[in-house]
Amino acid sequence: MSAAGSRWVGRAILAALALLFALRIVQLRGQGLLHVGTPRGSLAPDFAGPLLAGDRFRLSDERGHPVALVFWAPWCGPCRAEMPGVERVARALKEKPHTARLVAVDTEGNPETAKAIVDRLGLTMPIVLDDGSASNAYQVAMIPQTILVDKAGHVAGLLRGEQSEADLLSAIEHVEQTP
Amino acid sequence: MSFSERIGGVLVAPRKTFALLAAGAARPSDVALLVVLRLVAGELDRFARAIGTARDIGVGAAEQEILATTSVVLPDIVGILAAGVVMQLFARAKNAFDVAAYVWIPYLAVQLGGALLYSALRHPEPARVRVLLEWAGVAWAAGVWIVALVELRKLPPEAQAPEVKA
Repeated sequence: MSAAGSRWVGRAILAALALLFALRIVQLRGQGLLHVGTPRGSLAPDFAGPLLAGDRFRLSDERGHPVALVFWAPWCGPCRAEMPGVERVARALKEKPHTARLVAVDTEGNPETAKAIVDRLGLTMPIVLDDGSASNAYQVAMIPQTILVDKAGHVAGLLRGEQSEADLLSAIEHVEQTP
Repeated sequence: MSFSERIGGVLVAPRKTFALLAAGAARPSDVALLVVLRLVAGELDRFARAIGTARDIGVGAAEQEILATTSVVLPDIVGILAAGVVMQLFARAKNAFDVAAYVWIPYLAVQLGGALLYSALRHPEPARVRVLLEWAGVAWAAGVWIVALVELRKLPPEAQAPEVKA
Protein backbone atom coordinates (compact mmCIF):
# COMPACT_ATOMS: atom_id res chain seq x y z
CA MET A 1 0.00 0.00 0.00
CA SER A 2 1.17 3.55 -0.73
CA ALA A 3 2.39 6.07 1.82
CA ALA A 4 -0.91 7.91 1.43
CA GLY A 5 -2.81 4.73 2.35
CA SER A 6 -0.67 4.24 5.44
CA ARG A 7 -1.23 7.87 6.40
CA TRP A 8 -5.00 7.47 6.15
CA VAL A 9 -5.01 4.28 8.23
CA GLY A 10 -2.86 6.04 10.83
CA ARG A 11 -5.31 8.93 10.90
CA ALA A 12 -8.18 6.46 11.20
CA ILE A 13 -6.56 5.00 14.35
CA LEU A 14 -6.24 8.48 15.86
CA ALA A 15 -9.82 9.28 14.83
CA ALA A 16 -11.01 6.03 16.44
CA LEU A 17 -9.31 7.02 19.70
CA ALA A 18 -10.97 10.44 19.53
CA LEU A 19 -14.34 8.81 18.78
CA LEU A 20 -13.95 6.43 21.72
CA PHE A 21 -13.17 9.44 23.94
CA ALA A 22 -16.29 11.23 22.66
CA LEU A 23 -18.50 8.15 23.19
CA ARG A 24 -17.23 7.82 26.76
CA ILE A 25 -18.05 11.51 27.40
CA VAL A 26 -21.61 10.99 26.10
CA GLN A 27 -22.03 7.91 28.29
CA LEU A 28 -20.65 9.72 31.34
CA ARG A 29 -23.06 12.60 30.81
CA GLY A 30 -25.89 10.07 30.73
CA GLN A 31 -24.70 8.42 33.94
CA GLY A 32 -24.19 11.69 35.79
CA LEU A 33 -20.56 12.76 35.49
CA LEU A 34 -18.52 12.81 38.69
CA HIS A 35 -21.37 11.27 40.66
CA VAL A 36 -20.10 8.98 43.40
CA GLY A 37 -22.09 6.80 45.71
CA THR A 38 -25.83 6.42 46.14
CA PRO A 39 -27.54 9.55 47.44
CA ARG A 40 -29.20 9.42 50.85
CA GLY A 41 -32.96 9.09 50.63
CA SER A 42 -32.88 7.34 47.26
CA LEU A 43 -34.24 3.83 46.89
CA ALA A 44 -31.45 1.38 47.72
CA PRO A 45 -30.64 -0.63 44.55
CA ASP A 46 -31.73 -4.22 44.94
CA PHE A 47 -29.15 -6.95 44.51
CA ALA A 48 -28.85 -10.64 45.17
CA GLY A 49 -25.93 -12.97 45.70
CA PRO A 50 -24.91 -16.26 47.27
CA LEU A 51 -24.10 -16.35 50.95
CA LEU A 52 -20.79 -17.91 51.97
CA ALA A 53 -22.61 -20.22 54.38
CA GLY A 54 -24.99 -21.34 51.62
CA ASP A 55 -28.42 -20.07 50.62
CA ARG A 56 -28.94 -16.75 48.90
CA PHE A 57 -29.33 -13.13 50.00
CA ARG A 58 -31.63 -10.62 48.32
CA LEU A 59 -31.82 -7.09 49.70
CA SER A 60 -35.49 -6.59 48.78
CA ASP A 61 -36.37 -9.59 51.02
CA GLU A 62 -35.13 -7.53 53.98
CA ARG A 63 -37.79 -4.80 53.75
CA GLY A 64 -39.35 -4.07 57.12
CA HIS A 65 -36.12 -3.74 59.06
CA PRO A 66 -32.91 -1.72 58.54
CA VAL A 67 -29.90 -3.36 56.93
CA ALA A 68 -26.24 -2.38 57.23
CA LEU A 69 -24.26 -3.44 54.16
CA VAL A 70 -20.56 -3.56 54.97
CA PHE A 71 -18.56 -3.66 51.72
CA TRP A 72 -15.17 -5.27 52.24
CA ALA A 73 -12.67 -7.70 50.67
CA PRO A 74 -10.27 -10.25 52.16
CA TRP A 75 -7.24 -8.57 50.50
CA CYS A 76 -8.06 -5.19 52.06
CA GLY A 77 -6.04 -4.53 55.25
CA PRO A 78 -8.34 -1.88 56.81
CA CYS A 79 -11.32 -4.18 56.10
CA ARG A 80 -9.66 -7.07 57.93
CA ALA A 81 -8.87 -4.74 60.82
CA GLU A 82 -12.50 -3.59 60.94
CA MET A 83 -14.03 -7.07 60.76
CA PRO A 84 -13.76 -8.14 64.44
CA GLY A 85 -15.63 -4.99 65.49
CA VAL A 86 -18.20 -5.49 62.72
CA GLU A 87 -18.70 -9.06 63.93
CA ARG A 88 -19.38 -7.86 67.48
CA VAL A 89 -21.90 -5.33 66.12
CA ALA A 90 -23.60 -8.08 64.07
CA ARG A 91 -23.89 -10.22 67.22
CA ALA A 92 -25.21 -7.26 69.24
CA LEU A 93 -27.89 -6.68 66.60
CA LYS A 94 -29.28 -10.17 67.20
CA GLU A 95 -30.37 -9.09 70.68
CA LYS A 96 -33.56 -7.14 71.35
CA PRO A 97 -34.52 -4.32 71.04
CA HIS A 98 -32.45 -4.22 67.85
CA THR A 99 -34.25 -4.76 64.59
CA ALA A 100 -31.46 -4.12 62.10
CA ARG A 101 -29.47 -6.79 60.36
CA LEU A 102 -25.84 -6.56 59.30
CA VAL A 103 -24.57 -8.18 56.12
CA ALA A 104 -20.96 -8.13 54.91
CA VAL A 105 -20.62 -7.88 51.13
CA ASP A 106 -17.37 -9.43 49.92
CA THR A 107 -16.51 -7.41 46.79
CA GLU A 108 -13.92 -9.99 45.72
CA GLY A 109 -16.55 -12.73 45.62
CA ASN A 110 -14.07 -15.57 46.00
CA PRO A 111 -15.45 -18.16 48.46
CA GLU A 112 -12.01 -19.63 49.20
CA THR A 113 -10.33 -16.39 50.31
CA ALA A 114 -13.49 -15.30 52.14
CA LYS A 115 -13.63 -18.62 54.01
CA ALA A 116 -9.97 -18.33 55.01
CA ILE A 117 -10.63 -14.94 56.66
CA VAL A 118 -13.91 -16.09 58.18
CA ASP A 119 -12.15 -19.08 59.76
CA ARG A 120 -9.20 -17.02 60.96
CA LEU A 121 -11.34 -14.26 62.52
CA GLY A 122 -14.18 -16.54 63.66
CA LEU A 123 -16.83 -14.54 61.79
CA THR A 124 -20.45 -15.67 62.02
CA MET A 125 -22.23 -12.77 60.30
CA PRO A 126 -23.80 -13.38 56.89
CA ILE A 127 -21.33 -12.79 54.05
CA VAL A 128 -22.59 -12.20 50.53
CA LEU A 129 -20.20 -13.08 47.72
CA ASP A 130 -20.58 -10.20 45.28
CA ASP A 131 -20.00 -10.77 41.57
CA GLY A 132 -19.65 -7.00 41.10
CA SER A 133 -23.36 -6.26 40.80
CA ALA A 134 -23.75 -4.90 44.34
CA SER A 135 -20.57 -2.82 44.32
CA ASN A 136 -21.45 -1.43 40.88
CA ALA A 137 -25.03 -0.68 41.89
CA TYR A 138 -23.81 1.25 44.94
CA GLN A 139 -20.79 2.70 43.07
CA VAL A 140 -18.43 1.52 45.78
CA ALA A 141 -15.19 3.28 44.89
CA MET A 142 -13.35 2.38 48.08
CA ILE A 143 -13.58 -0.19 50.84
CA PRO A 144 -14.36 -0.59 53.65
CA GLN A 145 -17.61 1.24 53.20
CA THR A 146 -20.91 0.75 55.00
CA ILE A 147 -24.27 1.63 53.50
CA LEU A 148 -27.22 1.86 55.83
CA VAL A 149 -30.61 1.01 54.38
CA ASP A 150 -33.72 1.90 56.37
CA LYS A 151 -36.74 -0.35 56.89
CA ALA A 152 -38.49 1.17 53.86
CA GLY A 153 -35.55 0.26 51.62
CA HIS A 154 -34.05 3.75 51.23
CA VAL A 155 -30.40 4.67 51.66
CA ALA A 156 -30.19 6.20 55.13
CA GLY A 157 -26.47 6.64 55.56
CA LEU A 158 -23.02 6.09 54.17
CA LEU A 159 -19.96 5.40 56.33
CA ARG A 160 -16.71 5.57 54.41
CA GLY A 161 -13.53 3.95 55.64
CA GLU A 162 -12.81 1.84 58.71
CA GLN A 163 -15.38 2.38 61.49
CA SER A 164 -15.00 1.77 65.19
CA GLU A 165 -17.42 -0.68 66.76
CA ALA A 166 -19.08 2.15 68.73
CA ASP A 167 -19.51 4.43 65.70
CA LEU A 168 -20.95 1.65 63.57
CA LEU A 169 -23.42 0.55 66.23
CA SER A 170 -24.43 4.13 66.95
CA ALA A 171 -25.09 4.84 63.24
CA ILE A 172 -27.19 1.68 62.93
CA GLU A 173 -29.15 2.51 66.09
CA HIS A 174 -29.86 5.97 64.67
CA VAL A 175 -31.40 4.38 61.56
CA GLU A 176 -33.37 1.93 63.71
CA GLN A 177 -34.88 4.83 65.66
CA THR A 178 -35.77 6.85 62.56
CA PRO A 179 -39.50 6.40 61.86
CA MET B 1 7.80 9.69 7.31
CA SER B 2 4.99 11.23 9.38
CA PHE B 3 3.48 9.99 12.67
CA SER B 4 0.28 8.72 10.99
CA GLU B 5 2.30 7.02 8.22
CA ARG B 6 4.36 5.15 10.81
CA ILE B 7 1.25 4.00 12.70
CA GLY B 8 -0.86 3.14 9.67
CA GLY B 9 2.03 1.57 7.81
CA VAL B 10 2.53 -1.03 10.56
CA LEU B 11 -1.04 -2.21 9.90
CA VAL B 12 -1.32 -2.05 6.13
CA ALA B 13 2.26 -2.28 4.81
CA PRO B 14 4.27 -3.84 7.65
CA ARG B 15 7.24 -5.06 5.56
CA LYS B 16 7.91 -1.70 3.94
CA THR B 17 7.19 0.26 7.14
CA PHE B 18 9.41 -1.88 9.35
CA ALA B 19 12.22 -1.58 6.78
CA LEU B 20 11.96 2.21 7.13
CA LEU B 21 11.58 2.04 10.93
CA ALA B 22 14.63 -0.21 11.19
CA ALA B 23 16.56 2.19 8.98
CA GLY B 24 16.05 4.95 11.54
CA ALA B 25 12.48 6.27 11.18
CA ALA B 26 11.34 4.72 14.52
CA ARG B 27 10.43 7.22 17.24
CA PRO B 28 10.01 5.85 20.82
CA SER B 29 7.51 8.65 21.54
CA ASP B 30 5.01 7.29 18.96
CA VAL B 31 3.96 4.25 20.96
CA ALA B 32 4.26 6.09 24.28
CA LEU B 33 1.79 8.68 23.01
CA LEU B 34 -0.60 5.99 21.77
CA VAL B 35 -0.48 4.22 25.15
CA VAL B 36 -1.43 7.47 26.89
CA LEU B 37 -4.24 8.19 24.39
CA ARG B 38 -5.58 4.64 24.74
CA LEU B 39 -5.55 4.96 28.54
CA VAL B 40 -7.34 8.31 28.58
CA ALA B 41 -9.95 7.35 25.95
CA GLY B 42 -10.55 3.83 27.21
CA GLU B 43 -10.68 4.54 30.94
CA LEU B 44 -12.28 7.97 30.97
CA ASP B 45 -15.18 6.80 33.15
CA ARG B 46 -12.78 5.59 35.84
CA PHE B 47 -10.76 8.81 35.73
CA ALA B 48 -13.99 10.81 36.02
CA ARG B 49 -15.00 8.70 39.00
CA ALA B 50 -11.59 9.41 40.57
CA ILE B 51 -12.33 13.15 40.33
CA GLY B 52 -15.63 12.53 42.12
CA THR B 53 -13.80 10.43 44.71
CA ALA B 54 -11.30 13.25 45.29
CA ARG B 55 -14.19 15.65 45.86
CA ASP B 56 -16.34 13.38 48.03
CA ILE B 57 -13.79 11.27 49.90
CA GLY B 58 -10.33 12.74 49.57
CA VAL B 59 -7.28 12.97 47.38
CA GLY B 60 -5.74 9.84 48.92
CA ALA B 61 -8.66 7.64 47.82
CA ALA B 62 -8.63 9.26 44.38
CA GLU B 63 -4.89 8.55 44.05
CA GLN B 64 -5.57 4.86 44.73
CA GLU B 65 -8.24 4.84 42.05
CA ILE B 66 -6.02 6.62 39.51
CA LEU B 67 -3.18 4.17 40.20
CA ALA B 68 -5.54 1.22 39.77
CA THR B 69 -6.84 2.70 36.51
CA THR B 70 -3.36 3.40 35.18
CA SER B 71 -2.38 -0.19 35.90
CA VAL B 72 -4.83 -1.27 33.18
CA VAL B 73 -2.10 -0.62 30.59
CA LEU B 74 0.57 -2.49 32.58
CA PRO B 75 0.10 -5.76 30.62
CA ASP B 76 0.45 -3.80 27.38
CA ILE B 77 3.66 -2.15 28.60
CA VAL B 78 5.05 -5.48 29.82
CA GLY B 79 4.19 -6.96 26.40
CA ILE B 80 5.96 -4.10 24.60
CA LEU B 81 9.05 -4.51 26.81
CA ALA B 82 9.06 -8.28 26.35
CA ALA B 83 8.75 -7.90 22.57
CA GLY B 84 11.70 -5.48 22.68
CA VAL B 85 13.89 -7.71 24.82
CA VAL B 86 13.30 -10.78 22.66
CA MET B 87 13.78 -8.72 19.50
CA GLN B 88 17.11 -7.49 20.84
CA LEU B 89 18.19 -11.09 21.38
CA PHE B 90 17.40 -12.19 17.82
CA ALA B 91 18.29 -9.01 15.94
CA ARG B 92 21.29 -7.17 17.23
CA ALA B 93 20.18 -3.85 15.73
CA LYS B 94 20.85 -0.70 17.74
CA ASN B 95 17.21 0.39 17.54
CA ALA B 96 15.61 -3.06 17.93
CA PHE B 97 13.79 -1.95 21.06
CA ASP B 98 12.27 1.14 19.43
CA VAL B 99 11.16 -0.86 16.39
CA ALA B 100 9.65 -3.64 18.51
CA ALA B 101 7.37 -1.16 20.30
CA TYR B 102 5.44 -0.64 17.03
CA VAL B 103 4.38 -4.29 17.18
CA TRP B 104 1.81 -3.21 19.82
CA ILE B 105 -0.15 -1.15 17.24
CA PRO B 106 -2.05 -4.11 15.68
CA TYR B 107 -3.10 -5.19 19.19
CA LEU B 108 -4.28 -1.63 19.87
CA ALA B 109 -6.25 -1.59 16.60
CA VAL B 110 -8.14 -4.78 17.51
CA GLN B 111 -8.86 -3.61 21.07
CA LEU B 112 -9.95 -0.22 19.80
CA GLY B 113 -12.33 -1.80 17.30
CA GLY B 114 -13.94 -3.90 20.05
CA ALA B 115 -14.16 -0.98 22.48
CA LEU B 116 -15.74 1.28 19.85
CA LEU B 117 -18.28 -1.33 18.81
CA TYR B 118 -19.43 -2.12 22.34
CA SER B 119 -19.38 1.54 23.40
CA ALA B 120 -21.68 2.29 20.49
CA LEU B 121 -23.90 -0.67 21.43
CA ARG B 122 -23.88 0.61 25.03
CA HIS B 123 -23.17 -2.67 26.74
CA PRO B 124 -19.96 -4.25 28.05
CA GLU B 125 -17.98 -6.69 25.93
CA PRO B 126 -19.09 -10.28 26.63
CA ALA B 127 -16.29 -12.31 28.24
CA ARG B 128 -16.04 -14.63 25.20
CA VAL B 129 -15.67 -11.70 22.81
CA ARG B 130 -13.05 -10.13 25.06
CA VAL B 131 -10.98 -13.32 24.98
CA LEU B 132 -11.42 -13.59 21.21
CA LEU B 133 -10.25 -9.99 20.74
CA GLU B 134 -7.25 -10.60 23.00
CA TRP B 135 -6.15 -13.59 20.95
CA ALA B 136 -6.80 -11.84 17.64
CA GLY B 137 -4.75 -8.83 18.76
CA VAL B 138 -1.89 -10.95 20.09
CA ALA B 139 -1.86 -13.13 16.93
CA TRP B 140 -1.73 -10.10 14.63
CA ALA B 141 0.98 -8.48 16.78
CA ALA B 142 2.99 -11.74 16.75
CA GLY B 143 2.81 -11.88 12.95
CA VAL B 144 3.96 -8.27 12.67
CA TRP B 145 6.75 -8.96 15.19
CA ILE B 146 8.13 -11.65 12.86
CA VAL B 147 8.03 -9.23 9.92
CA ALA B 148 9.86 -6.63 12.05
CA LEU B 149 12.49 -9.20 13.03
CA VAL B 150 13.11 -10.18 9.41
CA GLU B 151 13.54 -6.53 8.43
CA LEU B 152 15.89 -5.83 11.36
CA ARG B 153 18.07 -8.82 10.48
CA LYS B 154 18.50 -7.43 6.97
CA LEU B 155 20.31 -4.37 8.35
CA PRO B 156 23.96 -3.93 7.34
CA PRO B 157 26.62 -4.80 9.97
CA GLU B 158 27.32 -1.12 10.79
CA ALA B 159 23.74 -0.78 12.12
CA GLN B 160 24.19 -3.75 14.47
CA ALA B 161 24.78 -3.25 18.17
CA PRO B 162 28.28 -4.21 19.32
CA GLU B 163 28.46 -7.64 21.01
CA VAL B 164 29.01 -7.40 24.74
CA LYS B 165 31.90 -9.55 25.91
CA ALA B 166 31.70 -11.25 29.26
